[in-house]
Amino acid sequence: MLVETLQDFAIKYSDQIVRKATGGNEQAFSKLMSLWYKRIYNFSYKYFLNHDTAMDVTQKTFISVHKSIRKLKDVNSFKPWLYRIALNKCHEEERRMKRRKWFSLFSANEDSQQGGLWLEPPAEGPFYNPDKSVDDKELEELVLECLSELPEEQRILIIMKEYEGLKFREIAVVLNISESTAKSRLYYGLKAMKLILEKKNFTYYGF
Amino acid sequence: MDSKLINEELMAYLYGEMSVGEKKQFEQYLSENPELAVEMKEMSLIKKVVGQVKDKEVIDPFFFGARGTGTTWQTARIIGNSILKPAIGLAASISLIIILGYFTGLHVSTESGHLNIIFGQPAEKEIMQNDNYVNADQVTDIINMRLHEERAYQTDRVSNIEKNFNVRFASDYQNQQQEINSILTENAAINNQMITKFVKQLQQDNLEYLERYFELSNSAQQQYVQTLLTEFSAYLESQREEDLRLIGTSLTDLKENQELQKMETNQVLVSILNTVNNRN
Repeated sequence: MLVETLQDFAIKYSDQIVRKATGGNEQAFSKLMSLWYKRIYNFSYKYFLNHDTAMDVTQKTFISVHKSIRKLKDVNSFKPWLYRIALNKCHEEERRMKRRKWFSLFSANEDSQQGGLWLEPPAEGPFYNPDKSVDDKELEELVLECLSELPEEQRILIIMKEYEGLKFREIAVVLNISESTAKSRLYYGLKAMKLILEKKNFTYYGF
Repeated sequence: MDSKLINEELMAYLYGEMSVGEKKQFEQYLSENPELAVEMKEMSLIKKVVGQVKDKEVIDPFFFGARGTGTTWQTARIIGNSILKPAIGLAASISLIIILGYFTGLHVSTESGHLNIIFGQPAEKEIMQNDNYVNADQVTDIINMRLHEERAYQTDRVSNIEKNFNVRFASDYQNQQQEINSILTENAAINNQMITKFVKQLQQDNLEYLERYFELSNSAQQQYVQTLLTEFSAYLESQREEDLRLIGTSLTDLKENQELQKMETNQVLVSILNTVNNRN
């Protein structure tokens, strides 16, 4: 069995910590928070593409988790439960921002839209093409920009599956949909991503 | 197969959420449908591009645990947002109003049951004393005197308000400082104990994680070494067979060479015998 990092490993075997936290153990909650903080922050960041908002949502998520963790009956459902709270907080924040009329989620970089970008291909192998070049940072920005242009239901699916690694059944629980709907939404999300990338003149060898 | 179902299967296959049997079946289906295989390749490329976004690093806040119904973390937010900020805001607003009032020459007075609010210098009033008019100089004197009085009064008032505000602000600030100090003192002892416990527990947990990690890594490594040894022994076996074949071939060559040599020797002997016979 291969484990990516020690933290991922700890997350995989955190059942006992969750159980203790549900019993009101503050130290366990603290540990749980340090285990999941980065994940929830990254989830919120990909939702808003804004550090401050993501920090705010992450903090609110954990305040809410702290308030209601004792109500969690099934330890195994902690992960979808946590992401459900995080998603609700994202929606709340989005509504609040809309009300204030300074919602600027899709702050696309104009420069990157005009020229078109190329994914830097590997130095060898089937994707090798020395004429194409774009650094990792630019590619990340482009992908996030394209992601933000997707409809929310597809965007959430890609974030949860691709970046957060939730199983389809867990996503189904978080979004209160069927597993087959989750798969279908992801399929159309990836298709839409391809179209948006093509619109921005992004070319990847093999597209 | 239904196209919607194919799309779903495609996603399950792409993200490795299929059982071994399902996977085999789908791979068979893929090999029979080249168009679907192309789509699969496209999808995995998009997945690869989307997967280029890396996680952002973030430092999680230290959580000390609860005291009563709220946490120190929440308390800090409450103190930070609900008490100090509005108090400072209120103080700033009052100061601004006072300063603006002073510079715009705001006059507030009551006269015969009326409230007068005047900006700038009060308008000159026509002063009449019985039948005699007051001359311009007198009017100027009266106005100057009145203005002087008013300015002195307003200055006093502003300084009083400022003084009161400062006293009140200082006392509020002191009270809040005391409150914060008392909360911190109360928590310090508990927190120290908790930090020690937390660190101890953390160390223990990390040790457990590491042990478990190494245990799992060891089993994977053992499996790997076993496979390696099996493969290596198979390699040695094949090498031995190859060597034996080579030795066999060499021996055959040697035998053939020996026979050839024997034949050549015989030929030489025959030729010598012929030569001797001819001479005789």
